[in-house]
Amino acid sequence: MSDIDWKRPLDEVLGDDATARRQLAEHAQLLPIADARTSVRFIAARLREHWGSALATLLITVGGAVAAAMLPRLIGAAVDVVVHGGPKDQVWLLGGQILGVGILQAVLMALGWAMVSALGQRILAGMREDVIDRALDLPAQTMERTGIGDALSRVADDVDVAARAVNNLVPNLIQLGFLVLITLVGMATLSPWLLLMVVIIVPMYVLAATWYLRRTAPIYRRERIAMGARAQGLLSAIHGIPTVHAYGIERRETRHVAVLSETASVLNMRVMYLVGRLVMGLNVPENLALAMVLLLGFVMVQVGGAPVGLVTAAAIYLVTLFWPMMSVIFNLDEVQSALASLSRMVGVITSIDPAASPGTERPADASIRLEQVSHAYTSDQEGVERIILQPLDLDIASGETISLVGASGAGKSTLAAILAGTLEPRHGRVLHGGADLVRADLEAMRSHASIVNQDVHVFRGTLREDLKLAAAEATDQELREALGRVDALTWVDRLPQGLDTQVGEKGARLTAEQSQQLALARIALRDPAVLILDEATADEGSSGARVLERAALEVARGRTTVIVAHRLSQARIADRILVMADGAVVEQGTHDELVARGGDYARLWEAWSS
Amino acid sequence: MRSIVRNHRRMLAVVLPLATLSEGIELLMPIVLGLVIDHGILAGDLRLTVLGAVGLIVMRILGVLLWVWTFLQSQKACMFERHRLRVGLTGAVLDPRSLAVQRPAGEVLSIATSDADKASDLLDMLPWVVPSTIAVLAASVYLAVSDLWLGLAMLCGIVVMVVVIRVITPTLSARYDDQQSEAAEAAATATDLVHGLRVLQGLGVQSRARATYRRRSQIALQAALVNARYSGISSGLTTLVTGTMLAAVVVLAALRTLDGALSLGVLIAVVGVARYVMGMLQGLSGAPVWWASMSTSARRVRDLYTDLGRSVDDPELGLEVLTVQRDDRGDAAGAGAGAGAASGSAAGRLDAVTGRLSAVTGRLGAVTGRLGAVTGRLGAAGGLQLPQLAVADGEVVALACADVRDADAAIDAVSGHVDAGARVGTTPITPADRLRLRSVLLVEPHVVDLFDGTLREQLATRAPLGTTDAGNSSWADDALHAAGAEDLLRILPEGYDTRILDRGSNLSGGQRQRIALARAVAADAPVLVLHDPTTAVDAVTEQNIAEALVAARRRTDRATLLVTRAPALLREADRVVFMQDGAVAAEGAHTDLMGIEAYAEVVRR
Repeated sequence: MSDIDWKRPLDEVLGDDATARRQLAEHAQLLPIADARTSVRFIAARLREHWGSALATLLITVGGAVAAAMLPRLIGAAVDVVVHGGPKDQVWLLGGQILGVGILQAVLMALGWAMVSALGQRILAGMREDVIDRALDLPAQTMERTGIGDALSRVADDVDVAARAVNNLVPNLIQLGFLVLITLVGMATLSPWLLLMVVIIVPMYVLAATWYLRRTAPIYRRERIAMGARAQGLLSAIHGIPTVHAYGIERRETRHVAVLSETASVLNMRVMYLVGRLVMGLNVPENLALAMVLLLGFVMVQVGGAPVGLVTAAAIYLVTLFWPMMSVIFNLDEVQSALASLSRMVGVITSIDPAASPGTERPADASIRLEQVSHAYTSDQEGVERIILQPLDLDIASGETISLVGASGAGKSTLAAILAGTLEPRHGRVLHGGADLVRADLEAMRSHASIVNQDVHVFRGTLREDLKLAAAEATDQELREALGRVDALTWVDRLPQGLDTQVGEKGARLTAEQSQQLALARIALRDPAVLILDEATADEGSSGARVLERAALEVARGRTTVIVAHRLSQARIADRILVMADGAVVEQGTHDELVARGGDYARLWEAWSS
Repeated sequence: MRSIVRNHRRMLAVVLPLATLSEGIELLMPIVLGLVIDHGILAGDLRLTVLGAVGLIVMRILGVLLWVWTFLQSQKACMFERHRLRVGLTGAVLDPRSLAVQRPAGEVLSIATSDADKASDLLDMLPWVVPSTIAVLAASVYLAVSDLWLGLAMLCGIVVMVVVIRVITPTLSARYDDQQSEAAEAAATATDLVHGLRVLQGLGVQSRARATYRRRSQIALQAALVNARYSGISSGLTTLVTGTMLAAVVVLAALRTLDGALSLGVLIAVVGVARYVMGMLQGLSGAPVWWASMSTSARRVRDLYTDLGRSVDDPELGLEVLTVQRDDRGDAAGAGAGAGAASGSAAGRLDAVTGRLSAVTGRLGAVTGRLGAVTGRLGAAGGLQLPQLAVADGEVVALACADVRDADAAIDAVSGHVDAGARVGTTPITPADRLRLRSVLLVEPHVVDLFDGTLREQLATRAPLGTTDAGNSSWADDALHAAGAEDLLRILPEGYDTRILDRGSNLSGGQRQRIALARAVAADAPVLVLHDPTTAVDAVTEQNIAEALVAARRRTDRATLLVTRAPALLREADRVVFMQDGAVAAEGAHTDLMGIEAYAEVVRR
């Protein structure tokens, strides 16, 4: 068996894998993270919302800890009875008391555990719903720039980490925490000498915990990044197996995963070494305490004349403390990662505003008007904008079909997104049916205009559920009608359970063409007045493309339609064609007009149709 | 699982006894403590008290040192095993010689990460469960020896505890599985919605998606609340058993001491030991569940290996192989079909050491001379032959199929997924031989997959050695030009050094497709097959690509096959082969074929 050199510096582990280096260096948390104070304030606010159950939980938990802290004293009392050769009745009595306290403790602990956990789950459920709320309103550009990885990890991983913590860790730690606290109080009240011990020992624990957390936090952070990159590397290699095999890069991809896996392992082992040192370090205050209890006990019994039961109780208190203290410190790293997740969730909730309706204007018809609209995604160092779309005035009549033609990067998709209202231009006004988008009613606008682009997605669940996202109230008859309009009914009827077939991630795999048909069927159900088709029929095998083109035209009938056209056959049928180049509309007119004019479009058509 | 134990037999042989020793020391603590209180403190013997205290501390230090050492050893083994399984699985999944994976990528990922981790936990568990069990047994024996009644009480306690743990708790914690699956369902819904975010926003149905998730989240919450109640009860039950047991032991031991059967020291020791045993049992209570999930995970790992037609202990999937070996891009000597002008064997060897050029220059003294002369660029491979058509060196041929299935069949044949009589030069392309042919033949898949890396790295994926280094980017410029993708240099903020995210998620479909095309051109393979390379680009760009691409490939030692129906590409090709119903229907220049109605119908869209 070969082994890993656990002490290797990361630099060496990463070797020549530049991608892995970049991934690890990337701290870029693209979505906001809340700072500690915001998180605390947030949780406190949520606790206040549930103040009744929070208070009850607190009382019950403290009660359980008090019951637990009474046990050593009762045992000490029993020892005293024995030392004095006291009556056996006394022993039975104490035994009964121990049993009673034990039962009380069990009941309170059961209650407390359930209450802490339930309270945590309630708060968590509220939070995860808020996170999704915000994520759904994230502007598309943010997602495009950052990829959806960060958003995904917030809504899935972070929620999961937090939920696991709430399940077990949180009730456990809260109970242990109170147990430690009450036990310390118990010791201090038992004898002032023991108070001295508490004063000396407790700071040492706090010191050790601080040292440990400060050392492990950055390691855990990097380990998490490495694990994320590792998962991503494996997933993309599996998705891309045809490419991996065609290019013969399977070893490169395997090694990439291996390098990240080893990085994560080495980092994890570094934490383990720290754990080892921590345990040895904690041994010092523990031993000190042990020696003190015995020596103080000797002094108290022999000099102060204290009963031996007191020493026994003290010793039991002490031993009772070792384990919970250790357990608290051991679990601190999980607490830490749960807190990290929490702050990432709170970050999303508190710093992204839920989409609010900007106004109450409603579109009167399906016309669109652009007034001096221009757009730039970024500015360079001097603050000069990198223009994507030059200032443009445009009037589209209700029911008109417009085609956008131009080379990649000419600004077609930008213009399409602005027309659909999913992208807010930096300058100028966009009016739909007379309603200015910056003063329009949000939900009214959302149902007024839809955009379909190349990204197809089939939602998990049944086919019916997928379609009903677009129209919740639709009957089966309406669903089938919509499917029929996009020529999808034939294959839907062939599915094992028709509309009840599970589709999406875990269900039946639909082809790209079928998924695109589904997207168009959703439009038919949603029935928007304005429809933007951005490369909606692109990237298909040719036969599929034709079916889709037909479906798209069918769905577009009767709506104001803007088509970002890849094929000139699509452009040709439009009422008006806008030819774009370098962010500006350079030619405009019907197909025949443009061909007659002999400009860019005419040249293109000539090349295509010969 | 057996493989895991076998791999770490030696570690376990050392760690298990030492861990048991450390556990034993822990157990001795209350016993010694009792003795010290009895004979030291109570008897007023200061010397004995101090000695006892010192003795206890020495014992503890020894115990902790042992614990830390065994802990680190078992963690190392566990971590190593996780790494080994993970890398082995990755290697097996990606190895073209394995059977194809039939499972969703997400499932493979979860097997290679969480299941590999859980299965390896065996090495974490054994050094803890085995000593703890021994210690519990030893403690019971101690109690029985001190006093038979105590021993019996202890036995009773253990039995009740085991019953509670094994019988009652699992029934209660079945709720936990419910909760987990509901939570997973909610998480999957969340992930799904975010994946489909653009679609949702495009439709403007965010509020409906929100309602969908809220419903899921509330279901998960209800399951979690039920679970919270039950896990509260189950923790209360164990506390109850512990408390009862403690009361019984205290009463029994105190009575026996009063009878004079036990000394006071033993009384304290007995109470301490009883607490210790109860604590241990509570800890051990999780072991069966842990074990069950561990074997399930181990089984899932093994099943995946089996599905791939591999095994855990395959030496080729060992760490030493997978973490060291570089991609061998096919043995050019065997596959070069004798036509290679450049030295095939040198190229093969060079490829094997890609990326370590500096080290190689020194080591391969004999080859250094040739290294300067040969840039790794391969010569002609003798063209590509299919039953229906042949592409000679120096030719760019387009294949237009009326039926998509014919196109797919042709692609399958040249990629060697089936033996359909295709050849490169004289070498047949068969499932067995296709790997060796990879150095001379590149079949670019239609579905674009880009991997995380800079634009330069994307293009250099398979570019011949010697062209990509030396700070010269003319090769990359040429490739981008051929793919009509020069505008990317203008758009991407850091030009060639811009990071392209996994699957090109920060690019549009058209940009992705053109980068993949540029990557294929940069590979400069003697034989290149492209499948519908321009479906995601607009008509203007397609026209540019057609001209530049064909110009880049039209060289005497290069053969190119375009499987496409795009008129722009068809027009630029030297020759077009038109297939209908599985047979060649016509052949010739695009402009001539446009006279055939069936062809014009297929091509003009």
